[in-house]
Amino acid sequence: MKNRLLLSSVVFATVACATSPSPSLVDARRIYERAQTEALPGTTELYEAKYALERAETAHARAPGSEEALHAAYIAERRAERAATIVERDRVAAVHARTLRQYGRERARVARFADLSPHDQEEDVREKLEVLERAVGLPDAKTMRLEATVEFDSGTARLDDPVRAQLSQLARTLIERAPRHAIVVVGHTDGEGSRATNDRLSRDRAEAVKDALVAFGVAPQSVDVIARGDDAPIASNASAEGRERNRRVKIVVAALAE
Amino acid sequence: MKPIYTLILSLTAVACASERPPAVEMMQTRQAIGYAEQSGAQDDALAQRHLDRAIDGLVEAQLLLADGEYDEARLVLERATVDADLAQARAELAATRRRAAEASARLSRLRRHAAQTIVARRDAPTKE
Repeated sequence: MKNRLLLSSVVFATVACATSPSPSLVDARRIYERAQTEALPGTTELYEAKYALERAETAHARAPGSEEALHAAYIAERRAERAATIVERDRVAAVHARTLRQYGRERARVARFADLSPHDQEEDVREKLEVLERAVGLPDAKTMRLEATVEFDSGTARLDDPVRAQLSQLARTLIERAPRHAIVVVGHTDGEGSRATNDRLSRDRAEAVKDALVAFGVAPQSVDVIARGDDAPIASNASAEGRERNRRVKIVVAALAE
Repeated sequence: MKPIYTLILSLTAVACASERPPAVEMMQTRQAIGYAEQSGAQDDALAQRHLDRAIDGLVEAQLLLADGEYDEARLVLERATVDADLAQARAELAATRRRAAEASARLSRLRRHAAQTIVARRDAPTKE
């Protein structure tokens, strides 16, 4: 048994040597294999690479080292390289699309940061803020107000990293340049889900923003939380875009203008 | 649609090697070179290399054709076409990378600006 096994490996080695594939065919196989594992479904260039590789394998099996085999291997290698390039192109394009979406979301937030209108503040927010302003010792006449909006993914109170970075910047600015300040954070949800769930979710969102601000150094007693559930939508809950705008926490800041 | 068309044609070309001059293959190679150039293959070193090979192949095929070496010309054209297709793919990858890098740089600038917006509001208090 042992001897037979040894004998067959010797025979196999001899055969393999006589019919060893061209470097192009070896590369084509390797590049195709990798492209195949990473390709999105429906990548036509991958099928072309597959057919070219099959043709090269057939030509190689029929007459190794022949002009036809070498030609087919050349084609297979180029087709495999093209498939791999297309797979990489699609991957980069997906990253690009994600960046553009992120840009759109963040630009919307920044626009709302800059576009402050104190008269837009709702009645209960104004009242809370005035109480808080007195508590932290802000004279009415000299306060300035800032308003910012943070949007959330559906059903969660999770803050993503860019938002954390902005909250960190807000906290640092307040601490360093306006140490006397009062903050009200108001949590909202979209119209999906039950009233009880939304009340809780809006509170969780507002608390998440407060926790982040406190973690970045803002004094807990200068931040007040209001949960509005789905009571105060700013856009229609009928569209996905409207719901996205409604899933928000509004941050209203009053600070002493020096 | 175009890749499948190319595939069918190239399989047909192999199936019936004959005394027929490879006119369709020649047109196909020219077209593939045209697509590669339109995709900006000249602007990327890797793409440029394959485009040059394709153009060399096209010229070689024209000489072979003049000598009546149809079968040989057909093989050269097929190799030239896959090189041109590869040049196009490389050019597209380079262009996609460029666009992705631009978008990413824009997002970074926006984030810097966002951080500064808050400071700016602080510096210019609104009148109540």
